[in-house]
Amino acid sequence: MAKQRMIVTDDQVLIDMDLLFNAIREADGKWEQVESEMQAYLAAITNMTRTEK
Amino acid sequence: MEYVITCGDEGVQINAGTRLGIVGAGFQVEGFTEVLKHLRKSLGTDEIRIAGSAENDWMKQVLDLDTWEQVDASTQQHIAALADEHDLLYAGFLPFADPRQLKHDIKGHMVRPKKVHVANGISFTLGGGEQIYHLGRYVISAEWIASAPEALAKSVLETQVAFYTKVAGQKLLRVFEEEGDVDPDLVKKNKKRLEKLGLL
Repeated sequence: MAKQRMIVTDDQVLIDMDLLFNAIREADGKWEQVESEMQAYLAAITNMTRTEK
Repeated sequence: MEYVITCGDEGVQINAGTRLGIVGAGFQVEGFTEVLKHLRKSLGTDEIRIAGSAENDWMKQVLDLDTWEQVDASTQQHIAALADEHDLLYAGFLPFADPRQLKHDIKGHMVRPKKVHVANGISFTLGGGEQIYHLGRYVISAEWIASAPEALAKSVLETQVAFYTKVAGQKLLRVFEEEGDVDPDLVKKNKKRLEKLGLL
């Protein structure tokens, strides 16, 4: 069974731990960069949800 | 109907236009010229658009590049050249940003998080491109497979399935979409061939 990797709600992004660590690895360990990208993603999603309502 | 070929990356969202997913938008996909011939026939139009997309894993692999900055720059050049080579309309590049208006009436953007692939399935489109966007699905265009030689369909589809499986790091669910403007008889034949190839 294929695993679900991410759940997006109105104000939360719940993400598979492996994906998060892979993203940090790909960013050469710059976790602040990944944190900032994930925060930006959450903000974009929240904004999209608000626009649709 | 404004059909646009993009990568089947789950992060590519087309807001205006109908998406046909081919890995790397067809760049260095063996048989792409033949696929286009059959795709044009199945869709009943020669006018097909093409767009590049950000953080493209296929481009990174085939061009053997190290950084996403290099990949994004190369993608724009190579997809524009691919459009010229195959008489496709080059719409532009889909970034990680708010939806962007591209050329030839196409609008879209990337909607997955950067450096993260979240899909757990593949959607084969059989009837005329992606009808419903799903962040959890890679997209593979299969409108053309019944009218093409079976060996070509098998090789092009299996290449994409293998690549997305590798990117996802897990076995992927298989689903299909039958809706669209393609002749219903052809859609049935596409589905039959997909089943025969063991891809559903």
